[in-house]
Order: sequence, then structure tokens, then C-alpha cells
Amino acid sequence: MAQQVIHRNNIKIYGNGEKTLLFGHGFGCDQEVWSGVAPAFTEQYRVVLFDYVGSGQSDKSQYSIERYNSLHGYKQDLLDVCDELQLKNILFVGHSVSSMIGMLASIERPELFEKLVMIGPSPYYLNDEDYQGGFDQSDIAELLDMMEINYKEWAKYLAPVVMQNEERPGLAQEFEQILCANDPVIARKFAEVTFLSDVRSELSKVHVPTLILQPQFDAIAPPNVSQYVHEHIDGSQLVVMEAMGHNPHLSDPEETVYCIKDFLEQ
Amino acid sequence: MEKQLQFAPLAYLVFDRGLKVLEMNEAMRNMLSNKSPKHFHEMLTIASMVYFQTYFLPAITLHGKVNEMFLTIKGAAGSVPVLMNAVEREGRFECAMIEMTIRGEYERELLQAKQNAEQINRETAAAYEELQHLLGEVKCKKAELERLNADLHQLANVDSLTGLKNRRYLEQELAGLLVKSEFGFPLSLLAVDIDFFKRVNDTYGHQMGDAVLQELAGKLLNETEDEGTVARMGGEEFIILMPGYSIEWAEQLGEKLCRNLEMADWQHVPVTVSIGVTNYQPGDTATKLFARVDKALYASKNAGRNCVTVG
Repeated sequence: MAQQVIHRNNIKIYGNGEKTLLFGHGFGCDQEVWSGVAPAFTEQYRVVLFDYVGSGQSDKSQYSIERYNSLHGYKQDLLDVCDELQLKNILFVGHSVSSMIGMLASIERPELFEKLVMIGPSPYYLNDEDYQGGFDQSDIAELLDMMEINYKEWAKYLAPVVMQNEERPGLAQEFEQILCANDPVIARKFAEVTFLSDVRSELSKVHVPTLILQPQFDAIAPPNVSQYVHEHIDGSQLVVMEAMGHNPHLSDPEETVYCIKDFLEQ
Repeated sequence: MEKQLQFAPLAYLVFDRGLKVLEMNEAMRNMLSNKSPKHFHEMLTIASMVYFQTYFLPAITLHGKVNEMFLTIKGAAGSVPVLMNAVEREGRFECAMIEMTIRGEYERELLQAKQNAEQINRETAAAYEELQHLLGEVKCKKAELERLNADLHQLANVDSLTGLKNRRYLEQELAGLLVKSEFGFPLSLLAVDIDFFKRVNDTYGHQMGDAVLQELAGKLLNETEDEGTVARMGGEEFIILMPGYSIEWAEQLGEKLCRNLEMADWQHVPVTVSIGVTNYQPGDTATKLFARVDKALYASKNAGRNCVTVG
């Protein structure tokens, strides 16, 4: 197992503080999204980044529909990372679906986690009677189609980044082909797992201090959903950010860093 | 030029990092249901908004541009599919969009066809797997049947006590040989019966009787070698079928049997045998042949046992 998890989940470790700050990326991206935020913490913390299996530079041969057809497969990835590095007193920052994955992990192994930061969390994306998740089934179907139509372009812009070698576009092209051949099924499945999972009943089981970050005009997790999460996690804090959109760590890394630091230092 | 851009057949839009709309041309405005949106995402359908927020910012942050992103705009008469290129310049995103309603229909049809084909592929693969599974099952069943058949064959043709061929086998074999004999193929047979076998059973019990039958069976096989087929007809009576051998040869075997069995070392109880010998005569049936060899056997019994009679 040892080396396998490090390779499988493309684990990267920076800094060497006593406490560990672990970042979990959301659906449709990989650990690269933390590049504007993570460096701000490396002086004070040990910062751990990783890719879920099927994303980024993870070992995609380890992907199986059986394991990853629910959030629990992704939760297991997260716990594998914690166990592999023997992490304790973890400060976990999860974006979007990763905040729910982190929540599930903290419910299963509360002793591992000290604090949770949820950026744009949603326990359920579909509208359900009184609950307004923001989406109808038809919206999700349209999104899945849109992903499919846009797939190649998406693969193209991810390629050079993951290869970290723009001097040799051949490498990126090669990688792009690998992406195009293997990823649509995984991305689509991850989208289905993300948008169709309902973990509302799990919120009340969280007993770790939790910060919820709600950006402006988040189309994916609207304010009423953040409010719902806040109301159902005992003692949680809700901070409404000035940053726009579902990716505040990209649109406004400074504010995101500030909010996280403020909470960690409390 | 600026005026031309206003009315160019191309939607042009500028927004900032906060997604706030800064400028747009007439073509853009004409496309929209909400003529003066404050933020870019207000112009998008729900699915597009999600797609945009998930992918646009990461892409443009990392590469400074986005090419051919397919989105749907909330238009005056329903949603409008567009293809968008965007570049980042001085912290502002400049976007050009082309409406692709007709092209979008082709794309949707292609996508639908692709999805249908994938569905068919999946179903075909599943059906194939099911077939493979069934084929495997059939193979297993066939092997089992063959094994059962072999068992049955064994059960049907072999005497379970001695391991010799049984009466059923002998009768079948004889029927085939009689046909050949009609054309002149020699056929001899011996009837072998244990002398005073009843005494063995009465004195030592049936278990010992069975052991004697088994020991005799082994000895008969040894003595006969490959000259004939030894079968147990029931009780203490055996038949040795000798296709291709003359009656003289059969008689010699009979004499050898009597002699060697009398002299043999017996593990349990020593016994002797009486033997009748006969061969195929024109017009013989199995019944006639058996009757004649039995008669010869009884002649041996009457002559004092442990001897051979040719009939």
C-alpha cells in the first residue's frame, strides 16, 4: 500500500509546520486549483495536496466504477491519504463536493480532524419539496451533455498544466490524447456522484469545528444551501465572502487565504 | 471600426474577475432576454452557469484564454447555444460569441447518435458476456453429462462385486459376434462354475463367499490373458468368451484353468471349478449356445467336478 497511495493519489507535501493543512479539490479539477492559496500556508503548516483517483495526475488505472460510484469511495481516498501519511490534528479545506467528502471522513474518523473548512458546500444539489438545492434533474442532464460537448476543449487546457512543460508541447499533446481517451467516463461519473448524492442527513453528525465559506453568486451552491448547511452543523460558522463565483480560491485567493487563516487561528 | 464592432454579426462582451459585465455590443444585447444584465452568469442557463463556474475560471486563470467553449445563453425566445472564445487582458475577460443554433442541432444529433451507439455497445457487450457465461455453463453441463455417462456405462456393463464384465455386457457382445460367426468367424466359449460353492457360504459366511468370488475373478483374468473376455453371469457362474479361437484352444484353456486353480495359492478358501466348453455351430443363437455350454458344464459336474467337458 505505502508508496501506492502516494503515487495513486499524486500526493504532494509542502512546508513543515506541526499541524497539517490538507486540501481537497472539487469536481472537474485537481490540486492545481490550490496553487494561489496553498503557498500562503507553507511557513506555518505542513500542506498536503492530492488528486482523487480519476482526477489530475492520479493513477487512473486504479479507478473503478464500483469504488467510486458514491462519495464513500472518494472519502476512502481521503482517509487513505491521512493513514498513509499518519496525519493527525488535520485542518481540512474542501472545495465544493470535497467539503462533503471531508465531512464524511470526519464523521467516520473524528479523532483525525481538528477543523473543517467548507468552500461552497452543498449536501444535495436537487430541489426536493421544501429544500431548494438549486437544480432540477433536467439541469443535471443538460450539464452532463454540455460536459460531453466541451470535453476536448477542457482536456486541452488541463493538459499543459498537468505536464508542467510548455516548452515541449508534444508532451502535452500526448497527455491530451490520454485524457481524451480515458476521462469522459470518469468525469461524467464523478459529475453524477457529485450532483446526485444526498448527504443532508449526515450534517448533524459533524462534531468538528466547521467554517462555511459562501462566495457571491455561486451558481453551484447558492446562499440558501450554505445557510442550510450552517443550520444543520452544530456550532458552525458561516462567512459570506466578497469573492465571486464558485471558485473563490481562484477568483480571489487573497480573501480566501484570509478567511481560512482567521478561522485556523481562532 | 468601433461602430462596425457594435453591429458586427458577432456577440462581443467584456466582464471582470468578479463576473461583472463592463461592455457589450448590440449583437450581444440582441441575443439576450435580459437586455442589461449586471453579471455574466445572469445570461446563462442553469447548466451553463454550473459548467461556466466549474471550468471557465480555472481555464482562463491557468492559460489566459479559453477556446470554443460551448454554452447556452438565456435568449429572448428560449435558450441560444453559442460558441465562446475568451482572452484575459488587463484583468478583464474579453469574449466573442457566435450563435450556433443550427450547428448546435447537428451537434446534439451527433451526441445523441453517439450516446445511442454507446448504449448499444454496452448492451451488446452485456449480451456477449451473458452468452459467454451461458456457453461456459453449457460446457460444464456437457462435461458433467459425459462423466455421468461414463459412470452409467461402467455401472451398466461391470459386475460391481468382481469388477468383471457383467451378463448384460456379455449378451450384447455375443449378439455382435454371432453375426460375424455366421460368416465363418470362429467363436468359442467356456462356462466356469465353482465346485461346492454353497459349502463355502454355509461354512464361512457370505462375506467369505464374496471374497472367494473376487479372488477367482482375478485368477480367471490372469489365466485368460487377452485370449477372451471374462464375465460373471451371476452367483458362482462365469463365462469366458473367446472370439477367433477354435474349440481345441478353448478346451486347452479350460484344462489349464482346472489344473492351475487346483494348484493355486488361495488367500481365503481353496476352490476348484467345473468347466463346460462349446463353440459356434451354424444356426446357433445365444440361447442355443448357452444351453449347450451349460449342458457341458453339468456333464463336468456329474463326472465328479474339477474337470472340463466339451459339448
